[in-house]
Formats: sequence, C-alpha cells, structure tokens
Amino acid sequence: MRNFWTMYKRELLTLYLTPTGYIVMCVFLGVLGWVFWLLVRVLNLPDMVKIDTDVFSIMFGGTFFYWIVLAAISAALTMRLFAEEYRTGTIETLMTAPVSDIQVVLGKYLAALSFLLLMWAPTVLYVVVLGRYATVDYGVVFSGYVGTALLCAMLTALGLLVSSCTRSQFVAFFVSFVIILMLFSLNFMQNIVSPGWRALYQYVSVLEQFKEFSAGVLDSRSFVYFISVTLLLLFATVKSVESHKWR
Amino acid sequence: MVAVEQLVKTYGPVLAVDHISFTVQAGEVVGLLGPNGAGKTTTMRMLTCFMPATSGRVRVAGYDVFTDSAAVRRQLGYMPENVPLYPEMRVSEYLRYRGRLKGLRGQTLEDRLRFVIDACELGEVRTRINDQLSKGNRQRVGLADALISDPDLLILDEPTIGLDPNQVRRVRELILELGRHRTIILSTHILSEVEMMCQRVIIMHQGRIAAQETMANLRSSTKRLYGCEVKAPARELEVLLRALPGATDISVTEQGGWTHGTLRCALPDTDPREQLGAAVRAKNWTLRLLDVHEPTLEDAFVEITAR
Repeated sequence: MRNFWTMYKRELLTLYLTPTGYIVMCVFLGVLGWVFWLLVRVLNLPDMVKIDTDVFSIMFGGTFFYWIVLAAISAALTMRLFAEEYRTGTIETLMTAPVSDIQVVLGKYLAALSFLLLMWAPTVLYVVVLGRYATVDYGVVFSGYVGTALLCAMLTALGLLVSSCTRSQFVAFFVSFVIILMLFSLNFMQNIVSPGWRALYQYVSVLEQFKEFSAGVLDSRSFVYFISVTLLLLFATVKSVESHKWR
Repeated sequence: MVAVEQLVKTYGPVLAVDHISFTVQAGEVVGLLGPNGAGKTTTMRMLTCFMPATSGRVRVAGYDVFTDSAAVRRQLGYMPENVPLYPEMRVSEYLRYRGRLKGLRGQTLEDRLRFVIDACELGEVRTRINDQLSKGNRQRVGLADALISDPDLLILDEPTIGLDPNQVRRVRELILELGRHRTIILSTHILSEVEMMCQRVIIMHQGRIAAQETMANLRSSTKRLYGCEVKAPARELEVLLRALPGATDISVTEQGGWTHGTLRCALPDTDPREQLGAAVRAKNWTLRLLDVHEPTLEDAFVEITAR
C-alpha cells in the first residue's frame, strides 16, 4: 500500500511538473468554457427558450466537443505513463525495486485519473454561475458528473493499456485516440447491423450507456458496464506489463 | 548469497545465456566480465528479477528470483548500464522517491539519503534536475540509488564509465569499502578496475561461462609473455622462436637495427628463456634483452575469449 502511494504521488506530481499536463488542462478548460458559453447563448435565443432543455444535459455528452475533448485529453494524459518508462529505460530500475506490477499499474492509473477528474473541478463554477440566473436541475448536474467520472475512468484505463504496449508516446496517443473514437462510433453501427446484433451494439455502445447519465438517471446497468470494462482494461494492463518481462 | 544453476535465456532463436552455473558467497566481490554480447547484462537482469529465465534457477539470499521476487528485490541494490533516471525530478527528490519505493521512511530515509549523497559526492548537485546532470553525475546518482536501501547484495553494471579519473578513484574506493561487508557483483570493461576490486572473476563468452577463478588462479593459469631483443634478421629469429617447444603467439618486429621477438609457452611450468638464450648464443647473435611479463587480467581475458 505504501509503495502504491509513493508511485501515485510521483506520477501525479509529474503531471503537474510537465508541460503536457498544463497544455491538456488549458485546452480542456478552454473548450469546455466555450461550449458552456455557446450553449447558454443559443438556449437563450428567442426561438429556443420554449425548448425545455437543461444546459447541463447537453453539456454532459450532448455535444461533439464533449466526446472529442475527452478522447483527446485522456489519450494525451496517459500516453507517457508506460511508453516513456520503456523509452528511457527507467522501467528497469522501477521493476527491480520491491514494488509489484499491480502497484505500478494502479499508482499510474489513479494518478492520471485524479488529474483528469481534478480538471473538472473548475467547471463547478458554471453550475454556481448559472444557478444565480436560472433554474438548474441539480439531479442532471450530479448524474452528469458521475457519468463523466465513470467515462474518464474507462478511457484512462484504455490509454494506460495502450501506453503499456509501446515505447513511443506519439504512437500511444494516436492509437488510444483512434480506439476511443471507434468506441464512440459503435453507437452509429447499430443502425447498419442486422436487428439481431443491434441489442449487443446498443449494450456495448459508450454513447448509449452514457445517455441515462445525461438525462439525470443513475442506472445500475451503466455502472456495471463502465466499472467492468475499466477493471478488464486494468487487468489487461497488468498482464501487458508482465509480458514485457517475458520478451 | 547468490546461487545460479543451469541458467538459460533465449530471445526467440537467439541463445543469450547458455546453461550457466555459479555461486557468489556472502561478502565476496566478484567481477563479471566478457566481450560485448557475452550475456552479462542479461544475466544481471535475471539476477535482479527484471526478466525471468527461460530455464534454470537463481537463488538470492535463499529466495528464488522467480517465486520470491519481492523478497529478492528487497535484498539488492542494482545500478543498470546507462543509469536511467526520471528527467524532470531533482537529484534529492529522486533519491528520496527511490528510498520510499524500497521501503525506507522517516528518519531512516533521511539518514540514508544523507549518507548516499555524501558517499557519492552529490552534495553540490542535489538540487539539480536529473536531465541537466553530466554523465559522471548520472553515474553517481545511479550508484546512490543502488546504495540507498543499504542492501546486502549490490549488482553494478559499469559503475565507473563516464567518470573523470579522480571520480573513478573515489568510486573504486567506495566500492572497496562497501565490499568489506557486502556482496558485490560488478560488471565492467575496465579490467584494471576488476583487478583492484574483485577477489574473483567470472568471464562470460558467447552466453557461457568461459572461466571462473580467483584473480591469482586466473593469472597462474594464463600463459606468460616472454620477450627478447637480438641483433638478427627478423625471419631467422621467427624460425628460431617457432622451434622452441610449446611456443605460441609469436610476434617479431624490427626497430632501430634490433629485432624484438615475443612468444607465449603452451607447456605448463615451462620457461623457454634458457633454451632461447642458448639458441641465440649458438647463432652468435648479440642479445640485448631477455625477459618475462607476468600475465595481467587483460592477458587472461584475451586468451579466454579468443578460444
């Protein structure tokens, strides 16, 4: 447990010490702030005020920007976690210290996830600001944040797994980004497959599973989906790290 | 302290380590030598649990490196070749992190940190970022990292490479001091260093152990180099040297009117100087020099790895 905390602190500190962390944070907050401003402006247009839609149900998963930004930042934050260790050779000193593969994987994973979730903290200001001028459905806000946290947990695990398979940060970023986009596009696949397969595509579609959170519903099936996929990806990462020793 | 039995490592079709067996007793300082690609680094990586063996067994302090990997890693300090460091961390920050990772906490950690910074002369660079360190300082940080947990077994891969002569001397002294109450396995290409620091050497060649001897035994089993300087035609001296019983590695050169000839003798306990002197006198050549060089580790290394 102590080694896990040592790993976790170092990884989290590194994210705050390297330019990547700050670039990701700036891009993320810039895009999200712009989307928030745009939504508030658009939903206040005379033609739109009669539409009974909450800003936050659109902000959490209702725009293209939400998905593309999450795909890009989770890929960018996780790309160096293992790839850099392999490239610089520090994996040798790390793995010959009395620390287990699981501690290494979890330390890196939770550090990246913490950084990603902490980036969302300033967006609470949007809720506060909007709450002063309009009625906010806090149920939607809460479920939106919960859904986003589960989605971030899954995407971080995916990025970590890809990073553990390569020595190049660029390759890790690119492959993670493409896989995440493909995962998101599964939702559209259900329209072109036979009805028999549709139910399966619907279940494995990230967008479909996230829909409930955007609507303010906390569905246990979505929790099971996100948590089980995350655990599966983390397990695969541990095996991937172990497999490097066998090569 | 270390027992290696029939250790094998293959990388696909390449046999990197081929059924090697050796032991290292507690308190011994052993040099692991061999040409590039001999399998030294692979062997050290298996000893340090970084990679598993294809077959065979390694025990460190009684623990199996495969089944009790965590226990083994708690016993050892490892300094890999090229000393990989996290570039964004400061020296003291990095060593503190490594100390924590190796289980040190509180005052013990601070005491060890102070010791390794002093011992490895890192005081002046302790606040410097790893990425800005010179090659020599990186080596010293790597050594400090290996030492921080005060391990019973130290495995050092090229510990003095990149250091200036003064630093080399101080690191050697430090290793000698550490070797008084620790087991050290040291890999280096600097043979004089091994002669100074190690009680025993293991020479690897093409994945196998070509020799494992104490320094004294290795020297005595290595052929001595005999030399002579005469006033004679080079071809004739070469013929004369070849006629000596057991003569090998003959070399003849001419310089300033004198011909210098060297040879080694393949026959055990045979000194060809007497016969050589008599043969030169019989030819009425002027003899200026007749001597013998005691074999160095380099001679032994060259002889063993050339087989």
